[in-house]
Amino acid sequence: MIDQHDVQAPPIVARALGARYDGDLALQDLTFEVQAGQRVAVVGPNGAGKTTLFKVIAGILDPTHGSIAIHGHGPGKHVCVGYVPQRTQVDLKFPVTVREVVMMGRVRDIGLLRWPNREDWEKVEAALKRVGMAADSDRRIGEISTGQQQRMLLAQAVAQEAQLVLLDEPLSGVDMPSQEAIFEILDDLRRDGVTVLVATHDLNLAAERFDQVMLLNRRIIAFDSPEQAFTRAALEAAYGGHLHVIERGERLAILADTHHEGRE
Amino acid sequence: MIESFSDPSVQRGLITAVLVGLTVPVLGCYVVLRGLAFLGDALAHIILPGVVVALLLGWPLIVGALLAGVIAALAVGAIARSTAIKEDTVIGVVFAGSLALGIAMLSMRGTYEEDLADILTGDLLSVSSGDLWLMAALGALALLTVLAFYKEFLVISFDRVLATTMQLPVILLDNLLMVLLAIVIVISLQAVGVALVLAMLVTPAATAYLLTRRLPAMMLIAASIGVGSGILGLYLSLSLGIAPGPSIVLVATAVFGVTYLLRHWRRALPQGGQAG
Repeated sequence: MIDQHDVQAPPIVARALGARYDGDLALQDLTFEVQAGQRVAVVGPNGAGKTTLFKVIAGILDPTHGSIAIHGHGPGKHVCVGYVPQRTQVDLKFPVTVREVVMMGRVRDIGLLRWPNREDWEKVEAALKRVGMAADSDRRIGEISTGQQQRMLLAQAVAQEAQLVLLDEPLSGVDMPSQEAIFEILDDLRRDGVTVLVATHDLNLAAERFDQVMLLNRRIIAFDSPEQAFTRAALEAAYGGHLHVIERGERLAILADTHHEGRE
Repeated sequence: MIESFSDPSVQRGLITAVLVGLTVPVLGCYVVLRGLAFLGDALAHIILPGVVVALLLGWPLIVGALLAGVIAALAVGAIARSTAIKEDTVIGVVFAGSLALGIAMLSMRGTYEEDLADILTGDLLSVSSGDLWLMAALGALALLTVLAFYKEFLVISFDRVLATTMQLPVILLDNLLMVLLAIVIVISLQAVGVALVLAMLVTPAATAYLLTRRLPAMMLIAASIGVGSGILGLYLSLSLGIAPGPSIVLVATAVFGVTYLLRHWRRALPQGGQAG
């Protein structure tokens, strides 16, 4: 099947988008566009709908209202979207190696009734090298650190040749070197024109390391450059009382008490 | 004792045991990894009405079982997807209802008790050569399908979200796996019976899971344990006078028990405690 993909159209165009999750209206009236090659932080309190939004973009969940187009077409017709869910969803006891997990990203491209050929394995090796995991490719997934698991899943999206990568909380529970490694990979992907959306609880990282910030709490509170998006009013609208904004000269320092793992 | 292996019915029994040991544990690996043990057990019982209908109509048992198994496998998936009731509850309803229907039909026959015993614990030494050919064909079909869809089955078993994101036909693949499960359950029906099919599905695969962390290796080890248990179980059955089905299952269970204890001890030792 040929991927429906219009290179001219923006990676994401959402119009009055709404979606339910477990019966509740988790997203309401989202209208936004993401341009190619941008790195967007999606931030908001627990239950803000970050995961729901990613599932809609990935074509796993159907929107109940409005419309969304990925590279000019509805979701569900794309293999160019790479979705890396929260790491807690990965079954670490499953008997597979790092290399096999990365190869899973190529399964759709390879097609039914075919086995991976040399080119596929080369793409897998290149993806592993790109995330600095080449030396660990034969290890079992239960043996590697949480930061390495995150890099492995990123390599899977790279092997999938995803043009739009969605990362759900890739930075929580990851040590500083792995966090830096992940940002290096994201920089690398940006040079290739890959668009990346990252859901994160870390507002300070969102402010420092991203082109754009989407402040979400079921609705879009703000969607702009970090400087424009992170105003005291917008943050208080998104987080209510669960946030302490300290003005330090030009910059806002943000302390949010939303670091605990939450169900979304 | 050894000469009884020259008896054609024993030879057919031996080939059946090897066939079951080879095919069922391979599918059993998916059952173990996806936590489908309850579904596997239920499928075995759901097959009963089909077997009884075949018995009443004078068809080969395997045909009735296969029809019932495939219908049930698809029905359980369809019902579970279309209601808010949890899948294990749907399986429970269909499982118990089918078992009751099968036994009710069987009870109308004069030879009720013998028939029921054969169906519940298998009748390895009365496999006809026609049945054997059919089993061999079905077993080969099941293994070849696993080989053909290996990478897709791997993805839907490991990461359904990825499978959905990549737009793989997840429901179709799920149904295919269910049909394959029904097929291997039917194959093992005559060897170990409805009540013990679960052991062939789960026990060798669980043992293999303790020994390796690679899926292809797990499948190979599970099949080896299955074949070994089949041969040794039949041998012990003939020499000790135990029913063959339970004998095979007991050997497989013993292999699991020994493996579990060895792994446990190795892990308990301070220097041998490598993660695994």
